[in-house]
Amino acid sequence: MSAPTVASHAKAFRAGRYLRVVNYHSTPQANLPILERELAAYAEAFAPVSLDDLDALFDTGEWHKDKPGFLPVFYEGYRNSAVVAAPLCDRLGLTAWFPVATQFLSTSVAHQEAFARAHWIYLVDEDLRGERIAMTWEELKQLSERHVVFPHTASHEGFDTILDDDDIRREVVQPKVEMDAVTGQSAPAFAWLHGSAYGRSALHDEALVAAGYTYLFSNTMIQRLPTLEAPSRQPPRSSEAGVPSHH
Amino acid sequence: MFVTGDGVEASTASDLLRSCHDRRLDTEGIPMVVALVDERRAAAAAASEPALREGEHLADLLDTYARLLVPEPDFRPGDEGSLITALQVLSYAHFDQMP
Repeated sequence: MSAPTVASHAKAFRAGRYLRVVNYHSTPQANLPILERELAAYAEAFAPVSLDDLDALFDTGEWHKDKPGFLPVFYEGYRNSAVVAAPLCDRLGLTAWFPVATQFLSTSVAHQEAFARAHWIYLVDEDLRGERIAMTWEELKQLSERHVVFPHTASHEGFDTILDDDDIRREVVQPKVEMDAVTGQSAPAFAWLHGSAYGRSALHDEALVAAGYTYLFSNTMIQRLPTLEAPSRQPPRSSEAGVPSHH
Repeated sequence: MFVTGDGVEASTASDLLRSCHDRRLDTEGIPMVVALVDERRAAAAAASEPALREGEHLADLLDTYARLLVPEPDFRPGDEGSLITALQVLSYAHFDQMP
């Protein structure tokens, strides 16, 4: 269990255990030149981080590239993540990471705006003028062949609203089952709405491990989760309220 | 206005905090330097020398912004919101800055 504090983060930084991420949400076509300038600058200064790179970094402690690592992370599952951000990352040689609220993709086009507004998914004008707001499952499959896709719950939920086994099944287990069936891979990571960390609630921590997730992306950490064979070093603390969110 | 030992002014830290909260999410990303935490084991593998050197610099900056922006007793130790605030400013101002 790792309670995130200034002291714990300073200690991790001094031990060389950190990475740079940049979190994005809707990336409209109209802002492509701005996004391109920003991502091109990052691509010049930093090296991409693939899933293999992240695994190796956790296993060896060594970063094996000349430049520091950098992860562009595109949240929610917007259509423009697939058709604007991903092609740009392809051109720049960046590995992008896509946490996706899976039910957003499964919602009918007619109801995607309402779904977004009902579930804390931020919209810009251009989102409302396209043929759909969320990417398709086929687009997610294509993304998974070049980048990293993983569940951000089903309905963009924080762990404070997931209270029982049915909630866990719907928001933690089923998103991975559905995603893995589409991609033919094992989704390696998970992220809660509000970016909550592992170590706050035994119910939720155990659910993540049992579902087979390897990493948890939170507001301030990337945590390598224990496996079923190697449980957490300490019992997690009791549940807490949500924290200020970027996601 | 005063200058800390790290050369960061309190007013500068406050201005940075406002600037990084005033951004439009559809035109720019939110940079964050995040900690890597291995929940499988207490002792993580040793990092490389460049990462240790830069990490020392980042840790000093984090301590500085925490002291300037979210000090005790107004902010309790262990308040994750305080950590997020200090990290946001650190990341906004120093993301591509190597020591």
